[in-house]
Amino acid sequence: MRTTLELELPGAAGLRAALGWTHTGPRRPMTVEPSTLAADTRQKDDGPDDTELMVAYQRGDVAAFELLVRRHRYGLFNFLLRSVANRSRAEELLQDVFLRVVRARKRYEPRAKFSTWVYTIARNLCVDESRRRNQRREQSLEAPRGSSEDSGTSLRQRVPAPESLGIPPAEAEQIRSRVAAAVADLPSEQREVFLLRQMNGMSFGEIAAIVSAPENTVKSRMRYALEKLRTELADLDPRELAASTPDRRQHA
Amino acid sequence: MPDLSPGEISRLEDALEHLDEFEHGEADAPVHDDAVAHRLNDYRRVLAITRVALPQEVVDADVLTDVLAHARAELANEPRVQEATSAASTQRRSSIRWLFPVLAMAGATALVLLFVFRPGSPVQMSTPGLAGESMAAKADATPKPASHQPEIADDQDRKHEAPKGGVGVPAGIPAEQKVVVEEAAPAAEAKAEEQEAGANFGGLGIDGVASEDSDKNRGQAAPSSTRARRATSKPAGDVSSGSRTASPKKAKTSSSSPTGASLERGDKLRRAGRCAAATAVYRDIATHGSASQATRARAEAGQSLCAEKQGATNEAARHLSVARKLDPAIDAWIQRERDTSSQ
Repeated sequence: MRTTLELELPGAAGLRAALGWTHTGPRRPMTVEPSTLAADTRQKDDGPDDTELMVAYQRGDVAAFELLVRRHRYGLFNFLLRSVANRSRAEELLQDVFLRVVRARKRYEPRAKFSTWVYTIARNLCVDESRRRNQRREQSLEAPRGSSEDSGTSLRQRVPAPESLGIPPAEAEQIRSRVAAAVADLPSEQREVFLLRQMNGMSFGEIAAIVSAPENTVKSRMRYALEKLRTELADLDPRELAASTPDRRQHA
Repeated sequence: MPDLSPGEISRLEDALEHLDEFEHGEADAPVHDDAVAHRLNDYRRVLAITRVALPQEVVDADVLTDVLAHARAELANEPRVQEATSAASTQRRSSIRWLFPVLAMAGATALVLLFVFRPGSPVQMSTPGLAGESMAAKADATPKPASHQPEIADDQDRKHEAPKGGVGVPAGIPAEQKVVVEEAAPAAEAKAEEQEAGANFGGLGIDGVASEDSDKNRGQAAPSSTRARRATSKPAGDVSSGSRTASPKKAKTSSSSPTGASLERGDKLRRAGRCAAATAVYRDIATHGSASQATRARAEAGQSLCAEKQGATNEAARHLSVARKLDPAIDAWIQRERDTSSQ
């Protein structure tokens, strides 16, 4: 369900154009230690909560807004990244999310959690993005390739299972792409629930508020998403995958 | 694996909330039946795979630099507008806040002033000086027939005057009058005039007795005037009759006011050439505390004209100066009087 707040705001592209911003192109993926992410997203334990910061920003405290950005930029970015499966586009959408926060500063009312509000904005932007992609008929994972290649087969189908090829740990990147593709291939309703739960650690109650659906419905969508991923990734062993990625550390 | 029953699905979904908490099968993990437990284990494996394969990625700091700059710029522009509008609104509110009390006070003050200083108010009538004026007004400013009595008396007095020098030629000037008289008048006539003036315009005085004396001096020539005087004269302290002559006080001299009537009396005496009597009348008005500034100016101007007629230029200049201070526009009246007398 869209909030009236977003419907009143201008389009994201229009915002960036009005501000004269241009995207500089895709960037190299960077990862961060979970401890850094945890420190970056601490809220109540260290300092004012998000609602207090937003109210302070509403009264003119730009430092409060900067702190809100630091707290939520990674979680929002990863949610957007896994939703649109495009880094540059995810960065643009991240800018749009915070731009809308800036534009809605005066009208903000602390009726719900700030995270619920800002992730609702992000989620609606992803829905818009998905509709635009459908309208442009961009190539999806299910879309068949050209005739010179294997026709009628999806990218995922053409990515071989690691076991069949005896892929060494060095090829873990390919596996990660497979997993990312599996998540991206989820229906949008299931994907957003899965990402908010898995990437952002939100409760089902908060997710229900963001997606404007009953909590039981949200749990069902999560179950469906897990079922689908369980089928898609049945052949993968997380321990082997973890062992093939020595630079990455598991989440606590 | 067989599909789960609806009950199992419900328990499975309820267990999703705490799926990660019991990932490693802790001892206090909830006990589920085999199907649900097996499915939950599959879910945990999927979650572990996605955690490893999809780590949290970092967004470059410069991605949001422009957003922060935009937020700062908006706040930088907004306070000035807010302060200006708030200052303007505060100023407007404060001015409005003070406007109503000021207007209310102004209106109340105006009402008080109108009530206190309205013409014919008890405040005026209670002042001692006005008693004499009221008495003079009784003698002069009463209904038409009575008002003519002084004139008739004057006429009659004039008839009794020795025909020397014609009308208007002043007789002898008493010592108290600081005027040099070129032409002498019979002392008796001057005294009669003084008595008449004193009786009628003596302020606190003497009413019926003086009137009677003056009547006696005049003999039976003016019985009607005497009766008019007796009818109108009252003890000095009696101010009740003042109400008869009470009339709205006007800024300009008017025959309806006691001082106005005295002023006219003086003017008539002066025009008739009876400067001594006119001067006495004018002096009384000029020294009267309740007379308005314009009335006193007229009185001073009248004294100046009398002195001028009598050749007392210094005295005339002195009174003229006082008149001009009281009323800068008195010259016009003086010129008219001169033109009238020259005709």
